Amino acid sequence: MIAALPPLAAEPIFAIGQLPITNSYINSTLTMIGFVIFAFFINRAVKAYKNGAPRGLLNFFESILEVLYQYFDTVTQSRKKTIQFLPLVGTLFFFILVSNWLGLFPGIGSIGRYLVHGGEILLVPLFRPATTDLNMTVAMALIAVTVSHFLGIFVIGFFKYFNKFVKVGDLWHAVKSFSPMAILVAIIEFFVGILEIISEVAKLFSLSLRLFGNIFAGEVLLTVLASILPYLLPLPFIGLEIIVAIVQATVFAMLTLVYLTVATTEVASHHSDHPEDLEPTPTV
Amino acid sequence: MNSIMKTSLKYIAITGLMLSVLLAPNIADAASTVVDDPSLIGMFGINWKLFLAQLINFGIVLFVLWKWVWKPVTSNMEERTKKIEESLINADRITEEKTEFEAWKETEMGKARQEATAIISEAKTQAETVKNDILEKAKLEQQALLEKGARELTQQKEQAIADAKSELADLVVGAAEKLIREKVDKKADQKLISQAMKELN
Repeated sequence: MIAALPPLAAEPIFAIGQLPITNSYINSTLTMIGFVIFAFFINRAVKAYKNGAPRGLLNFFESILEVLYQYFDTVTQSRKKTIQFLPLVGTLFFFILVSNWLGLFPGIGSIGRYLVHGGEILLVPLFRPATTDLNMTVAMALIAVTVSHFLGIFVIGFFKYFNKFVKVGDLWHAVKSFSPMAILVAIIEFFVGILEIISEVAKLFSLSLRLFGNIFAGEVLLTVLASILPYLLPLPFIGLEIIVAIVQATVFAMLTLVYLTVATTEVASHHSDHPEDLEPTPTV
Repeated sequence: MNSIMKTSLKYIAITGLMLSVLLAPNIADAASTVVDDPSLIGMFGINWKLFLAQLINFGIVLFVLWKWVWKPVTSNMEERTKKIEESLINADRITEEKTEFEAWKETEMGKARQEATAIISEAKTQAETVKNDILEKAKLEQQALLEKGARELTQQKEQAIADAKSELADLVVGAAEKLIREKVDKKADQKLISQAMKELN
């Protein structure tokens, strides 16, 4: 018997008013509740061991955090920035990791309701990893990219940030210099800047589709293998999927970290004497 | 910078809400459109309401972890690092001070010991001199007493002899007077007395 392959889209199980509740949404809500409980315990532990040595859960968590710090430091080159970006990047990492791993949990993808789908009665799983829903991955990518833009504007100033994409400042400077070569370079750079805008949109797609594609492909692979021989055969692949889950969570988090770092780094200006460049940047 | 990230999140939420309001009328019978939408976006199950729901789910995780985990844990760890660093520096300083104090104590104790021995030896010599003085004085006093005793003895002896002499002379005179009263006159008497006295002496 060949089990139905999971469809690209998450399947709705029921609807609350206008909102369809899909199996992915159920999973992401459960994950959310799990994280809230985890956060509650961590917070309690932090308060309990405020002035002493950490113990138990908090100790374990801090040891993981130290490892993350070291990886993040290699990207940000500054511990201060690492700690500033940690909330977003760390949350992305752990949320994606837990969501991915939950897909390998027995019962997720196999417990379901029989619903009518395109005229057929199919087993629709009650749970499906949150990261195999494009809605979720796009939401996370959108938050990551948007936060990086807002941070860039706040940290290096609106004009400077704007000038990264629409290089009117460089162009104006080149025109003022009356050097045809400089004007040509500035025009080319102007179009490069517009390409940057496209790449910013592409970030959104690459982040979300990479995560979705990898985890979804893993789900499909495991379903296919399980339908060929449900015993032992999927085991090595489950092991691989555990690694893929870590890799994808790391890739998503690290790319977000890179975007945040790049957005908050000033580009070396060719014309520091330009008056608009002297506008004070907010100290954050 | 955290506050800025928070503001950006707020902006995202507001834009999301606005989008949902704008797009809400377009989505009727959401549960069926999710699956049956033949377009590319529909095939992937992209649905604005679901998207927002997932966005909110992730936003809640982000917010809760931020408030309860990242901020307190990182600040706590930083504080602890600072505390440990300070303690290490303090420990170094304390050991340094301790060795310094040990050395100071050693020298002070050596000094004190020297002083003590000096004081003791001085006391000893003083005691010796005092003792000698006392002994000498005692000797002198003894001698003086002895001399005084001897002197008194001779004096008493002389006195006794003198007394005895005079008494004897009186007795002799009395006896002689009685013997020669009637026979000798006054002149001879006188002569006899002085003669006797001379002889006595």
